[in-house]
Amino acid sequence: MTESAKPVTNPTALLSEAALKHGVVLTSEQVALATEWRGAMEAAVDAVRRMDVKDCEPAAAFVPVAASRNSVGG
Amino acid sequence: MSDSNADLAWRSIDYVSSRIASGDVSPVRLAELMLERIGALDGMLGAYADVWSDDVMDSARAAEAEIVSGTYRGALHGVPIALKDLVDVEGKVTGAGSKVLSNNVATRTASVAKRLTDAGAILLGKTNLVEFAFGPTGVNTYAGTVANPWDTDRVTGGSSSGSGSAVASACAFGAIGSDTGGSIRMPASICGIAGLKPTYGLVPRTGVLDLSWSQDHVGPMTRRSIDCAHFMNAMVGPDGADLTVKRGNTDDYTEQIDSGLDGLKIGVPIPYFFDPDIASPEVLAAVSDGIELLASNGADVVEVTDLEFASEGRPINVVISLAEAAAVHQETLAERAEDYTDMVRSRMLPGFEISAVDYIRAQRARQLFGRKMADATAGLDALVTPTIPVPTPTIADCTPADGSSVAPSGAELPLYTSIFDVTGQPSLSVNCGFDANGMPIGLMITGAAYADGKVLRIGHAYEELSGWHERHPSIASQ
Repeated sequence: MTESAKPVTNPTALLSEAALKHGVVLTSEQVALATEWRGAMEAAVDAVRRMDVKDCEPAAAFVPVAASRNSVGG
Repeated sequence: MSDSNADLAWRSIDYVSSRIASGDVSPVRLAELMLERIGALDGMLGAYADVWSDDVMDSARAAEAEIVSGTYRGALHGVPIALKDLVDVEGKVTGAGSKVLSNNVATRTASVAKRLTDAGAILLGKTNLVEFAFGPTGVNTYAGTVANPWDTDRVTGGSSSGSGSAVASACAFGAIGSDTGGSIRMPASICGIAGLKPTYGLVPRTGVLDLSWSQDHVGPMTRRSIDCAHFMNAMVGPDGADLTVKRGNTDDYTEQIDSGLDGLKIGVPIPYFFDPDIASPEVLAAVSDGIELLASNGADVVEVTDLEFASEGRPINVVISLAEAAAVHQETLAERAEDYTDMVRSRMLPGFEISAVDYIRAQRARQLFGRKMADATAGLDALVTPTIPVPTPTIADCTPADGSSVAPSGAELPLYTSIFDVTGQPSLSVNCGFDANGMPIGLMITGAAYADGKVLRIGHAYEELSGWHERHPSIASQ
């Protein structure tokens, strides 16, 4: 891997780049404050990545929960 | 029989509606009473973003004239209620507790607001909230943090903070809230009132500001479960615009409400919801006392032990909320990021880092989570749990220090409520006692999809047995 192709791993840069990709330009102070919340987001994403979802056909993911054939409850 | 104003203010909608129908109480008197109370108390509480005094009296006089002429529309006719300030009413500002929308005059009326006024309700105004409904504590550093009438130094819970405070202080007979991670049930619990998150897809959200499309619910907050039932009778059913709402209004939510607890099987999910590493001893003690009361009055109470997976619900809720909130706010953040409060903007921005792959994975996990919940609760009429695992924190502890966007307390508040935003089940919080600081504790009753009436029936039975709803905060007891 060349120097220029190394992935960005700095949390502040990751957040700033993600926002910028979506047209949101932030000040350095705004990025610093938002970086405090990245840990909660990363923990939730990591937890979801550990969940086994193969038994859910992807199309079912977009059926409103209570209206689906998997309607919940006792 | 005559009612003093002091008594009347605290009465249920179920009661005052019967007095209005019989001609013993006038809508004009109720409207004047609520406006007087708001004038006396809201300076301390800050529950209201806007009070429409002239409109209130015009509507009350019109309701009175209509009722006198022989047209009575039902239980909400002539009853003063409030709307969370993310519900559109044409010609009024929908501010969402944010500088971003401080001049946002609505050009339409939300379906729920129209249905409530069609049912004859008098709209007192809009209640304050967490900025864009994005936060569990009630803290809003732009519009002001609503005070809890039980202790003005403690949070109300959020995001429907003003609705909780207004109803708990008898500055409205009921109010509309919204719930994406617990924003109806958390303030209901902390303010000591009843709050129902209806089944997802039962109440149309047209004209209500979005936070997380696939998890947003609109529902009632009142002092009694039976009053939530009266709200539901007016609110439910398709409006032709919110395509998630499929069912018509075929239920009368008050019909079975007095049927008691006999024959009902209630599950107590021990893992997660009663885990002493998550929930405080005094919360668990109060909820356990409530469960004993249900069991000794006809309910068949059973322990549910195969709910270890429940802890997966909160991360699913967080991933979906963050990704959808980032999508909802993308354009306004691009144009006016500086006009959001540090706390809410900072919490939203990491949502832009969630990939489409991770978002879809969370939605797939959500469907499986719902199936597992259905399997684990098969044969039960409801689950009973704490609403919030911990005692009510102070406003100071839930407010970030200068130079930070994260507060020391508050993150644990939605650990239980958010589970049922993920599944879409109907979920009700009712008061089940008080902690050592004198703050209310909530008991959460959750049923099967579309069994909202049964959930309200259990809540009503519990209130009748326990009487906790008869206590009022001292600063509002006038």
